[in-house]
Amino acid sequence: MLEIRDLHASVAGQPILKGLNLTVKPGEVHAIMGPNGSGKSTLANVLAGRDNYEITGGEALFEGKSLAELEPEERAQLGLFLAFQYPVEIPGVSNMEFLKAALEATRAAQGKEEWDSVTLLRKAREACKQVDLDPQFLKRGVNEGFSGGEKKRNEIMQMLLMEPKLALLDETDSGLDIDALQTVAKGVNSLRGPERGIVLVTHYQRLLDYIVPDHVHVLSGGRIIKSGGKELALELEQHGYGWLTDDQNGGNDKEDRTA
Amino acid sequence: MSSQAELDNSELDRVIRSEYEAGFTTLVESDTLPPGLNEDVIRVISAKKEEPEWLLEWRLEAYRHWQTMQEPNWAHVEYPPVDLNAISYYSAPKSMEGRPKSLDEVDPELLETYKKLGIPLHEQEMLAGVAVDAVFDSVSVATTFKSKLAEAGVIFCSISEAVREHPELVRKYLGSVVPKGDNYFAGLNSAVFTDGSFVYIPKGVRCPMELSTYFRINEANTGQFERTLIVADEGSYVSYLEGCTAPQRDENQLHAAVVELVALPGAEIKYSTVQNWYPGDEDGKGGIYNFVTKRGVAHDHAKISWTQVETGSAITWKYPSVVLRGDHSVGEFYSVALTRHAQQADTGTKMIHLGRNTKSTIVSKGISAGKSSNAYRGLVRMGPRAENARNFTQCDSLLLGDTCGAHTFPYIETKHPSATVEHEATTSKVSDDQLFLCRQRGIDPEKAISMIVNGFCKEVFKELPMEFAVEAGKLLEVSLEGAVG
Amino acid sequence: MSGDNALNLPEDLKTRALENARQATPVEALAPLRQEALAALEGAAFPGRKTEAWKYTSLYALTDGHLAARAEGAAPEDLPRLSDYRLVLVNGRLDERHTTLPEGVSLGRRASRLEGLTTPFALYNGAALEDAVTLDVAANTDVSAPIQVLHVSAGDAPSHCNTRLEVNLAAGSRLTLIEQYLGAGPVLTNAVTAIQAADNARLTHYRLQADAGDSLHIGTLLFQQTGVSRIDSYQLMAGNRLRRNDVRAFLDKSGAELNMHGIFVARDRSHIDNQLCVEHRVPECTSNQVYRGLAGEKGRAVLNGRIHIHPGAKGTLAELSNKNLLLNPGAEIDTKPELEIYNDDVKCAHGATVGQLDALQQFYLQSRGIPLAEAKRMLSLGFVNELIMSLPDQTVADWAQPWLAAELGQRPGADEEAA
Repeated sequence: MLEIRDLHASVAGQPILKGLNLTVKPGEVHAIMGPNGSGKSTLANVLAGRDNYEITGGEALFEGKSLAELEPEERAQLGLFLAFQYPVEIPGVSNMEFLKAALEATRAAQGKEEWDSVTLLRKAREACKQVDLDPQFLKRGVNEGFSGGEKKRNEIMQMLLMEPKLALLDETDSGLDIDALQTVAKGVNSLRGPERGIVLVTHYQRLLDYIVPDHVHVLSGGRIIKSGGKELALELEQHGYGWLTDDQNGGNDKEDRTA
Repeated sequence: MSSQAELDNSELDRVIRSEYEAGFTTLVESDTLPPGLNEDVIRVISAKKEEPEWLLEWRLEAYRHWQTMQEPNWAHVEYPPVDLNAISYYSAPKSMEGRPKSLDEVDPELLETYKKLGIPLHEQEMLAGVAVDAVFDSVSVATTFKSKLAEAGVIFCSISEAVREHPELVRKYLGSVVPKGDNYFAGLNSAVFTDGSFVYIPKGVRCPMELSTYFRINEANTGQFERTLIVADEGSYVSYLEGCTAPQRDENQLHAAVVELVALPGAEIKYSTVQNWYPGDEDGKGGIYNFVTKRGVAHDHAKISWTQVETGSAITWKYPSVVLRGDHSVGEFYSVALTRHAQQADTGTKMIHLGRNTKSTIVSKGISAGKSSNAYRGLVRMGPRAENARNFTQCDSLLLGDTCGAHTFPYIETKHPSATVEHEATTSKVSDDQLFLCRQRGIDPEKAISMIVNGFCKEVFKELPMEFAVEAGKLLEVSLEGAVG
Repeated sequence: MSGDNALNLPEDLKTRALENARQATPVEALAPLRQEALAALEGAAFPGRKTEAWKYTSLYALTDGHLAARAEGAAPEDLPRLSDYRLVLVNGRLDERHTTLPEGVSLGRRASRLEGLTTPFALYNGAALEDAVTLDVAANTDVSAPIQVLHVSAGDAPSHCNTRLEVNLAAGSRLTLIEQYLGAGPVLTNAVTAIQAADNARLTHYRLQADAGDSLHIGTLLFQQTGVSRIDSYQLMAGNRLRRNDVRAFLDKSGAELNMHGIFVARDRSHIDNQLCVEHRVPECTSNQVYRGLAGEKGRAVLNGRIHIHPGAKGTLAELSNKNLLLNPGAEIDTKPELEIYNDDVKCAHGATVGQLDALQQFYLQSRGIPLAEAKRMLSLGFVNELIMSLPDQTVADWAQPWLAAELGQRPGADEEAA
């Protein structure tokens, strides 16, 4: 469903991705790991179509369509979902209003039946419950005054409601305590299914204790330098990234190691 | 003082009466022009300064335009009208006669202030206008200065000298930032300016030292109509200091200076001012009127930074501004304005954003005490092409006592949707709790207030060159003495 | 209309105003006020290009001759009803057929001489009045349902009307007042509303200005808090060909509290200029002002918010916040929050911002499948939502929501322009 071939991308003119290849088939869970600055978050943002994240070479196809030519909302309407690393606060726009607009647009585009307000509210409450989020949050502004953990759970809650074909989770585990991590993992696992692809972008292995991936890739210097099964994550946990990136002698990870 | 003034007056009366008989030649030969302004007076000024024809024409055009203008009345200040025909527009530097012969003859209050500021004796003499020959230390300092600057290719001289020595530079940039018809006082200045500084920093040169008017002793009298022009060529840097923390004696009531800054692509100009002219007595009588036009143009990637500490003058009317013409240019304005007794200040800045990605910062701290009135007046304008322009303004007032006034008039005009402007203003007083805490720890109230005021001004002081900052802090302390009941 | 008039507009306006005022045929009770206002008007000057208080608003539109004629027209049959109690003024004249007032509120056809009505237009309003309405709320009366006052302008040709409402809240009274302005023709509404609140009075005030199109509005809203009272005023305003609102408030008794909330929107080619002036003249009063402005297309939105703390007004708490959104190139926002303070023992602050919709927020909404135009509308609405949510009366909120949704909606071609 996701086919990335020799992808080059830059952020505000600065090249970050330098020939990345990745294929995600329905039903698969992929983990993309790598040191800070390796381009993990860039990949997630490029796929979702954020401004200033520009594809400069290669291609990324989602369901056979070139993502580069699509507006962010068109990608979402096709069923691509990004759980943000830093979800933005939107004071004045309530979560409920926001969900209604999002679901109306995506469900219509996907030919799914429209939910009336009562159904929507019921579903939203269920989703909140699933991620241990007080349904009172639905009345508040989007992410307004939420703690870091609440913001992340809110992302998962939205994902559950929107039932995307492909979910990209950008460092969803960062800043979560163990309880919250389990809650988030439970939510993600409940979405696993033969029709759905999931890409986890993460720095740490610990999320993968709860969401077991089918494939693990190591991203460094804007390219995938090693791929393997779930055992690769454990190796990384034990040995760090050094043994991989040293071989490659490249990437933006130098600063990391000195830091 | 008063007998001196009477003497001057009778002298002047005599000259006035003889004006038309004596004619032009006599005027040129005399040391002091009779009061009054007309085209002949301007011709005489220009002739005395041996100026080229184009500059005379420039002055005359300025004068003709000025005659059609009216004195502005929008500022939050009140003063009796200045009789511009009672001013003499040219006088040669004062001879030693008539000046105090030693510090013993100087107003003891003035000396007391000098002492508190820790000003060395010989500088006290210079500041008080004592008739000693030029201050020797300063002369030697100035000489070392000059050779170092010359090595770097920096030109730093009086504007009159620049007209003679570097006419092409003066002609190119004079009036390019503040046009001769810009406003009433700038127009007047353009017609009659007689003094001021000129600075040129060549391409890529970082001026090896801070330039200070204090050391430019070749023209001892601070002119009433000063004209300063600073041109920083591409990629150069200069820090310029103007004024002095000690209260300066000056018999001219009206000061209408013009300062023009040109920061060519990639250049940076840092302009710092400490202004402490005579504020007049408790009712403001005899104080100086300071009506200044200061403006800079910043080209691509250039930066202009104004820092000012204003404690003097009876009336201050002053808005150091930056026209952010080039893309990525930066403008800054940091100001402390302290008013006490009957002082009135209407001061602030204008940031005119024309280029893309331009950025400006305004930090203004107003402190009012006594019966004074202290107004911040600022304009932030985002032009129709000022894509991604940014401004942040912080404007705080501190009131000491309940008989003073603190005012804020920020104009914000935005024509570009990607420009962002933020303005914040607060007003506060030194709270009883703060004072009590200090006193409980054994600090006397005056010291406590000066500490709190210094803290209030810290953001601005840190923008001043180190030495200046220390002096400015001391200056506030001295100025605040007795300001609080 | 002619070029000559345009050249000396202030003089021309004054001449017209004086002529009209002298010819007015008022109800008897208005005659003394008219004489005084006329005398003051004779000494007044109409604003010109260089008048500081009119820096951002040109009266050029009035060269069409609005002051030359009084509006003659009938109100539409179908007038909005936001409450059971209602009062209708058509071109400034009371339409008695519609009057329904609750117990404890009495109606008078009179107007008073008031401090603070100093603009030439407010003076002209007094000098040329032919009708006026004063509502007196009796002491200790709690009027439960709101009173809706409709100011309707009607006319097909450039003309004007003077409309005047005074409300006096006696001690201990409570009132909700909804002032609504209607009209779409080329009529200039020259309005004065003056409200006085005595001790323990409490007023909730709405000012709904949705009159748009060719209509023009120049008005003064005056609050006089002569008693320890509380006024909450909610002002929802759309720009029109020329809208100028002067709001003056006098806090004259220690303990008085004034809260003003406003939303002003200038879309297309419309114009709105708000001039606020809150005068703290005695100690220990509180004022709080929150205004949000939006401008799009060729619209221009202006706010001048002045807080004036008089000598002796110690213990004052005064704040003003004005945030603005500029939606696209071609629109303009001018804001000037002013402080004029003559006492040290006060807490005053103001803040103003001008910005645009946040790119990251837009992306977040888009990433959830919401189209850009809709995302922009949602975010614009979110920008003013806090104020809408705080509206205490549901009927007004129900009116405000669709109005705002329409005001903030996408304009044809706006997206291309922004891109």
